[in-house]
Amino acid sequence: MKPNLANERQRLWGVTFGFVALLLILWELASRREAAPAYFLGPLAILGTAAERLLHGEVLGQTVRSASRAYAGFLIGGAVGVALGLLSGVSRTVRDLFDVSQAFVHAIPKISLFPAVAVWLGFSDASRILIIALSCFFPAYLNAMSGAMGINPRYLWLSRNNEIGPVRTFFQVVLPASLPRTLVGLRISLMVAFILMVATEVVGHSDGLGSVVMLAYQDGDYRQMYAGILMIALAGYFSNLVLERLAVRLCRGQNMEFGG
Amino acid sequence: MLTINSVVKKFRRGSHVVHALGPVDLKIQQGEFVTVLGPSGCGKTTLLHMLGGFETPTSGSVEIHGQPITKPSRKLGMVFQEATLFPWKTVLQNIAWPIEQTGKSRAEALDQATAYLDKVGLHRFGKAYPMELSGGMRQRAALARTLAMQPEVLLMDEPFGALDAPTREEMQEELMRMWQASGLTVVFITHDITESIFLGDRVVVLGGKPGTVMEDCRIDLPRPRTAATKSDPKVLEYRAHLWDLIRRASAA
Repeated sequence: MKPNLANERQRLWGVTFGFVALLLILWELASRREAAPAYFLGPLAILGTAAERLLHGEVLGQTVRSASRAYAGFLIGGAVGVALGLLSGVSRTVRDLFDVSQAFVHAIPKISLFPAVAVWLGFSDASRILIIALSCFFPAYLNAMSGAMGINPRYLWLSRNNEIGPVRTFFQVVLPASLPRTLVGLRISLMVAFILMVATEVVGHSDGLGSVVMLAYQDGDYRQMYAGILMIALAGYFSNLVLERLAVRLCRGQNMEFGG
Repeated sequence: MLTINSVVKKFRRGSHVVHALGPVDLKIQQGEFVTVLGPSGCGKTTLLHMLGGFETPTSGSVEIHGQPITKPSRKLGMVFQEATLFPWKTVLQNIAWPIEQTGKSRAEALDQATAYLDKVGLHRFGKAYPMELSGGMRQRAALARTLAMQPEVLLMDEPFGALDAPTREEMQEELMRMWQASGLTVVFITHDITESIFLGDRVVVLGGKPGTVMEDCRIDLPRPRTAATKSDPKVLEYRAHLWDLIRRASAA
């Protein structure tokens, strides 16, 4: 069974990479046509610029600034979301406490709160991280709650049979049993963090990749613009990859697919 | 010793009250293996849950050594129909879990768990995750985990009900072998007549609506019981008798 799986995986990689390579070649060829406008850059040109700007340090610095905002927001929003979500899943009282406020705030696109937050905190890192955290809260909260509500009630009986108190039960039974679903929520939160990272950086005076892209657009520096977009994509891709690997490790034995 | 004193259980379902069980009176001696036989819906699982302290009787009392059972305890080990092992732990870690709860170190718990693993014949599968095991192996592991609590009483709710016939027979014989060496009191719920005869010192037939004890039948088959016991002509006699009872119970 195992060698078969490995073959399958190899075949999959062949197909995936073949398709990506084909797309990149077509794109490159299209950008080299005489009729192609100046703003239509090919992948090689973008990669070249990105590598060059990366070496000169400016894009790398901006990437670090952006990513640290995204991660800070993700960690705060994700942690609070998971904690409250799991508690809401096991306690009817906690669930009722948050139900209306949660549903109401969830319906607001969080970026629309950015100006309101900026009134207090200015267009600062604090307000950006707050907006990112708020957006990350919801997928984490809702999935952790549904994970905790969906655990096999017999697990809790088992815990009672062993005369284990509520705190131990929470950490030793509820948390691991809800983990697959909770991690699905956190992966959505992570992607949301990157979206809100860019969104909060194009507004107001800012630095970071979002502002790099926006300023490059205003200056007509399309190479720089695409280099910024490429860095956003790379940062998001690798962050997701790390979280996915972590999820697979943490959920060993629990039958859960982590596709995509 | 387990005592069930005129226990009645009623459930509230919407606006009306369902009288599910009782009154039931039963005494179970220490070290006795009692099987409770009855059609589905006769309240046998409810009775077991009350013995485990997971449900409380509407009236009457359930006692162990004269003390009322008001909440679950490690003295009363449950074995459910589904194995309900923690999927995120290996088989050995699952069995070690109840031991860890007593404050023993992880290493010590794992060490002790190995002994229980051997006892149920799973010594080669300690590192496997539950989802990698067959249904029968999972149920063995679940039994080992309950034994690791060091209970005085085993409360088993149709533990072999979901297994295929050959595995079920094998598990019954294995349970007999283990129990005969243990001194445990066992209350074993089943709707399989042959199973109830082969395992039990007594077969308590529960039936009717609300469920009551229709017969408390002593099984005089020699111990130790092995696979050969199943072909004892007495088994067939008991079987015919109990069949007759069950049929009348369903007709009533």
